[in-house]
Amino acid sequence: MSEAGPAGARPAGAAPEAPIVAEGLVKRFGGFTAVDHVSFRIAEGEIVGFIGPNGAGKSTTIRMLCGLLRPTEGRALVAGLDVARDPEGVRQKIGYMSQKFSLYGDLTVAENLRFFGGIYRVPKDQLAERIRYAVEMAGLAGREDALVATLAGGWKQRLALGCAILHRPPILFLDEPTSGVDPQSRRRFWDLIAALAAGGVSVLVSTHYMDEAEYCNRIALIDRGRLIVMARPSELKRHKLGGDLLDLECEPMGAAILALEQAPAIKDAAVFGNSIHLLVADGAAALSTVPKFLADRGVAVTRLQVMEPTLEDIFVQLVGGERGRQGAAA
Amino acid sequence: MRLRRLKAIAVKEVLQVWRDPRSLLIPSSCPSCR
Repeated sequence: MSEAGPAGARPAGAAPEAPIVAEGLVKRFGGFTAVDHVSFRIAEGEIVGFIGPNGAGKSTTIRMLCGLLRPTEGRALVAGLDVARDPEGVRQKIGYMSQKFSLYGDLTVAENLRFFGGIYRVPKDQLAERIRYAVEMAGLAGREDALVATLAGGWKQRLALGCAILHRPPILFLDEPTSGVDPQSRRRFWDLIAALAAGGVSVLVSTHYMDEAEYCNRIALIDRGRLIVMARPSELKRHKLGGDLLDLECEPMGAAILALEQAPAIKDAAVFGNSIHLLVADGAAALSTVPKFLADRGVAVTRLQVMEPTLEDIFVQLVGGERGRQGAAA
Repeated sequence: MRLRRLKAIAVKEVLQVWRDPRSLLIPSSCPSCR
């Protein structure tokens, strides 16, 4: 990706502009607000994960940044270009991959790559080398003449990425690229994304797989069109929970949940598989008080320990808190 | 649209029709063709 660079010249000594800038982006469809005043910046070589449930506004935001949808309000700058004013210029600077992969099943691997090379106007003298790189990156060497319809999901996914980066864009937008792909292929795909980012490519990737958030430099949590928080995964885990998390195994679980709802020291209790995650202000104190509190109510504790919160814990907490605030304000 | 893009699209369309000429047929389920 050595050819990829920021668009346009800037004065010597000036601070480099972030490759992706969203300022107060709003998108309304009639009376429905899909994206509600979303602002962020993404630096060169940074991977930002857009995390949120279906319908949260992830795809709409990405489509606005790609110039595929016009924002109702706000401004988006991509590679220094205003997306609303110069969508065609933006498209030459970005790679976009949707969850449907946008490949032609009745064309072969090589034909798909040649087609995208033509669409992106890759210089003819560089096309063969770029196609060779994409084929090797996707692990499709020897399958150049296979019809894409016959390929497995992981191969299609890597081929779609190869098509999206054929013109060596400095910015990549990936909209749920790992949906419906097996875990091994997902892992390999993320290794490719990390390699591209190491070469200076800025990546905005949406997903609803919480484990994939760990691959990102920063995470943007989005729910009902609003950006709830944007931070590094480690920062989110350290600061955003508002207390210590305990992992509790006990018998019977139902009675324990009912009892814990009445316990003054418990901020929140949620069932995760065979255990209950408790949010408490002071984990060390709760380790001694919770077993006695539950024993007095006929619940036997088999295991209780302080645990490192997962991003799913953080997400549930933050979305729950935000919805509570919105409900109270309504 | 630049000639290069038009050529890429034309090649793709020809290949798709060559592989499956039935794709040229208008399906009877097409609502605008009734």
